[in-house]
Amino acid sequence: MTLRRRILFYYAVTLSVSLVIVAFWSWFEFTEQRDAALRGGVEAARKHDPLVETVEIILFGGVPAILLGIIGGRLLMQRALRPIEDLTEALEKTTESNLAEPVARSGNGDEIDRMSAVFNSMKERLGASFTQAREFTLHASHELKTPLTILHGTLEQMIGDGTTPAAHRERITSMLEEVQRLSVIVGQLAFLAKADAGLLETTHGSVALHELVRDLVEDLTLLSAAQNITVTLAACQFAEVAGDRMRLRQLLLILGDNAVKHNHKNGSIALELHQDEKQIIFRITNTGPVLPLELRSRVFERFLRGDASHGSTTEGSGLGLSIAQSIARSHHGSLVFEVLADDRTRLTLSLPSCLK
Amino acid sequence: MHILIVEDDPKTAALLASALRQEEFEVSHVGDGESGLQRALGGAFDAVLVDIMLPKRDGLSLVRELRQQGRTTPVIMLSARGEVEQRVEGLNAGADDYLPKPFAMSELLARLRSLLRRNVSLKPAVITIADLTYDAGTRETRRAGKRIELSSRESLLLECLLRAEGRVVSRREIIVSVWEYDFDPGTNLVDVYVRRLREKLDRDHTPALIQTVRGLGYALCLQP
Repeated sequence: MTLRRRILFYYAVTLSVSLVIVAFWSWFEFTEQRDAALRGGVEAARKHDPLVETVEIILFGGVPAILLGIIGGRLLMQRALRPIEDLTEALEKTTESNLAEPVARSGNGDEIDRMSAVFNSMKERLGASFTQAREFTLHASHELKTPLTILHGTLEQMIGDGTTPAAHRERITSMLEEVQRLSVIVGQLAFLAKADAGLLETTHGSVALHELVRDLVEDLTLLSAAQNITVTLAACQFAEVAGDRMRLRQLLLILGDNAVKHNHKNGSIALELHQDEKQIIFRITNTGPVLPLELRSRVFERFLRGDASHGSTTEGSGLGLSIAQSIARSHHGSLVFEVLADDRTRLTLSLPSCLK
Repeated sequence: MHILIVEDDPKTAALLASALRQEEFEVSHVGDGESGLQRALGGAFDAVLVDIMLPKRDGLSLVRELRQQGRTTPVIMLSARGEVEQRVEGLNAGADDYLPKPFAMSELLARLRSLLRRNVSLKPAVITIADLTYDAGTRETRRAGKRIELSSRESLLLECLLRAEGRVVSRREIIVSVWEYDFDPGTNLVDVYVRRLREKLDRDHTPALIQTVRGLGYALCLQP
């Protein structure tokens, strides 16, 4: 049955029942009047004021009929619209990750069922194109690795070859450096494609995050020395997290490196690590150029570089923070970017705590 | 030294062969896994380089079979799928080393040499070059008799350069052996550490020992 017909049917049923109530009460009143007339004659019949009778019919027949109409209509409409609500709810729950699960269908062939079917096929196509994009990146990065190896090796040989003129050697060296940069980007893309496909390895052990943070401070102090940046470790509580040590190190180094690269001379970087029963919080706050408002919500996007428009020479592929976020998510954590009131930039990593 | 290359991509194979011949290795090449296995079982090779993705028989199964037949020939696996699980899988199958593509030829040669040498001699505890001495056990470093204080990463870096015996060490090799990262951090961490080490080792002394080879990496040797 189509939805239109069903609503019409419900409506007709409600009206009919209301009509029956009114009819029944009228019948009751008229019968009473007739019986009174038969028993007591005209005098008795006259006692029944038509106005009172009408009010009685309205009160005892009309009002319940109206109430029934309202309550019943409401219930029936609710029933009729339930599938729409269910579908809306299912639509709201749809994310990139559950495209493979179809929405439940009633199978009764009405408009909603057809809509669910259309939606399911749309979801399927959307899922397929997501998968395709992912697989494309994964395959592309694999396919690029062999030519890069050949290119790298050939250039290396040319540099090592004594017959290469010195003037060419300089150019070959700079080509080699570009090949190396390309290799890094290809590796990062492969990593992200894997993370998107949910294939990030889950070799989980217990990782002492505080040790990794101390190591990071040591590296950052050196990395930032040229710009005279002050690195401070404000707090470093004991913090153990269930996770992959190598990936967590990678995550911390990306955040640290980001804080050095987007900083200015004589700036500062502050790190802190806290743990409570629920979660571990790692914060890294740095001075530096303020990211324009419109870019702030997009910092985790791939190939986005905050200062590209300013012609800055900041190196990096623009994939770092995206990788950091993938690692945080694969550890059931989150990464949040914010600009503080004093214009410093802060990245906050939250990870679930192992503390019982 | 005779090396067998099992690689189906002709260009990669040609490059490997020419790089190895340049270093005066003798090289044989086959293009699929099955004949690779037959050659490895049949001939007396000093080492085998195997790609993982191969026609007829993949690299993992080749190594497994080779080991089952009791051969201990050193094997280096090469793969475009440079992920950690792949590495573990390769080593579990019986490979001695695993090199993800894209790799630097110098790195492959270094790994190959260290594999070939592994059984021959033990690494010396005290390494000396010019007036620099380094004790791998105590990490004590002296130059011209004067003690030099190094942080733990600096001494690991020094050891990594010294073990290469004058050969150029790529940034990736340094990252793997000093930081134990399996990823490229995309920072100039290595350069910064080398600069610091150079400051401590070479500033008050001649000749300078740490050489920068642009595009390739660093070497610790006496400049010719």
